[in-house]
Amino acid sequence: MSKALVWAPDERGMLELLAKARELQLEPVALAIGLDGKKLVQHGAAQVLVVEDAKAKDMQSGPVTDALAAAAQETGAKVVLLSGGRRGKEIAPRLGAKLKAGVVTLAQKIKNDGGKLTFERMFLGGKTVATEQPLTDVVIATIPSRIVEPLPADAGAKGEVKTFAPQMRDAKVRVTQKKPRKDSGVNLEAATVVIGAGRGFKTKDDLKLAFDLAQTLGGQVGCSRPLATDLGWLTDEYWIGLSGKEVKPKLYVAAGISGQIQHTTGIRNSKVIVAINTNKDAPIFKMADYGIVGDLYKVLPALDAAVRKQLGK
Amino acid sequence: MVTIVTLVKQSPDVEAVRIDPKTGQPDLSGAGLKVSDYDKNAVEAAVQLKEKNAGSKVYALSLGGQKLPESIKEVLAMGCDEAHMLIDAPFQGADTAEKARLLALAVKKLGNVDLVIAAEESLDSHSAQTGPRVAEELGWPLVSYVTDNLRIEGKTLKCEREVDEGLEDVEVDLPAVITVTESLNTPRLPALMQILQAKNKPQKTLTAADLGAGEVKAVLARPSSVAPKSERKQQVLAGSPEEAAEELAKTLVKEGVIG
Repeated sequence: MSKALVWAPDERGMLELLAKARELQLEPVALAIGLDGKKLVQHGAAQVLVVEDAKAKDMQSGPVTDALAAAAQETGAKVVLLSGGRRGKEIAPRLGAKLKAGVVTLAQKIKNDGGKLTFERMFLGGKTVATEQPLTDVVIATIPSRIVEPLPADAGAKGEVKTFAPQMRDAKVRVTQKKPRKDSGVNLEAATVVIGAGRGFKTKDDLKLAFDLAQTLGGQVGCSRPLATDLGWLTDEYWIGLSGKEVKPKLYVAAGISGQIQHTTGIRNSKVIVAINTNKDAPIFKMADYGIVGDLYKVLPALDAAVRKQLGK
Repeated sequence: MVTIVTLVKQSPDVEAVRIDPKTGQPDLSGAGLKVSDYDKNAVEAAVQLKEKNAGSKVYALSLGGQKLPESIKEVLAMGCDEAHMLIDAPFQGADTAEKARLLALAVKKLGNVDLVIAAEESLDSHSAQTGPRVAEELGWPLVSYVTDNLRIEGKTLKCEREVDEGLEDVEVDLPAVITVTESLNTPRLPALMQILQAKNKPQKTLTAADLGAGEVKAVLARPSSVAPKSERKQQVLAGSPEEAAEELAKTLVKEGVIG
């Protein structure tokens, strides 16, 4: 079995990459910085290389690139999978330049055809899906979060955990202050129901209509780009779309959203999409399973009441 | 006093790209070419740094086709001092990786560059690779996803940037490469006078021979780019808001997505 070298800065991301490598019939070798090697073995890692050198502790792209390059060389891994977050996306191209390797950014799908990997990713502002094939000996890809679930823990899983001390450049970027994200309880990527709010809302206070329906359905509220950027009614954590989050709920309700491609790329993997818009020609209706042409100020309360009735709430 | 290179890409206007309803193939013929929107945040960042650091210069550096000068005028009007354009037949075979190598060669050729600023990604390909690859090709440190408070003190760059866990304040000694996010600034709209003055700014073309580029070879093949098929039902529910909502609620329960 060919090896896949995997790295993510956090445990959840790492477990997803291990599952992805296994799904592709590859033997995962994890490069661990600040993570528990034994746990990675329980979740699918065949081997864990633990980097303890303080140079890597801030996960700056320079030293981590060097560690990954050394790990690829040491293990002979020809596939490198990195998490699709900010850190993975800045390190993958650096590693690509260092190893003269082709890099696929945010691969939605990967096919392993007898060892030859073919990737699919969003292209042209989300209008198309491009097929990409690196032509190099080593192939690198970043994988979006939550497109695969971690494998269940297997306490009896066997795998080697060893310290790995590669040559690394110094971290030339000095971190003077870390400002961790406050846990606001917003986790759109994991939500089963998402109510998406768009420009159809006239004021920030009116968003209550979306929050009320979300609460009834046990879901969360998200928004299109203008509400997070120009209007600033909601923070970036709520922003769904090309430059924001990608959601995959069972139900997505687009309320007052016209359906610009910038937004719809972030909802396309929802199971059922509902659109509510006053403009019957809005592009969102072409993306939707069910549409109601109407004023969200009337439709959302009506839907909230109808859902309560159906669910006996 | 700093010398800044800002990387600019000419991209099809993706909003105007039409999809052939039968084949799903994108038709770019009706979509004009423009400066990739996000690059304007990079240009704005460069020009603001120039304004705050007397004696500084900003070079716009771009690799593209014969129509590139049409778009480049816009960033000159925004305040870049000179444009350096990599236009040559062999460059048309370059992929993201090769373009980054060629742009890095051009940065070296310009000489005495302190800072390279790129957008986090481009409007059309979203590869998000150019900035980090240029950093590695140059062997310079990289600060990605700059969000706020970008400044230069002496020969040290300081800023706030976004990472997976949140934000971090960082500093790095120049030379360095940074990539900027849309939230860093609002790109200026040049006034008519600046647009007129831009015509007199130097615009230079660089060829493969000028760069000593060697063979230009892609490392990534992209055999197809096709619109995904919409498999949505596209069913519009009629009636008053109450009737439509009632119908929808029942359907959603039936589909098993709520309850």
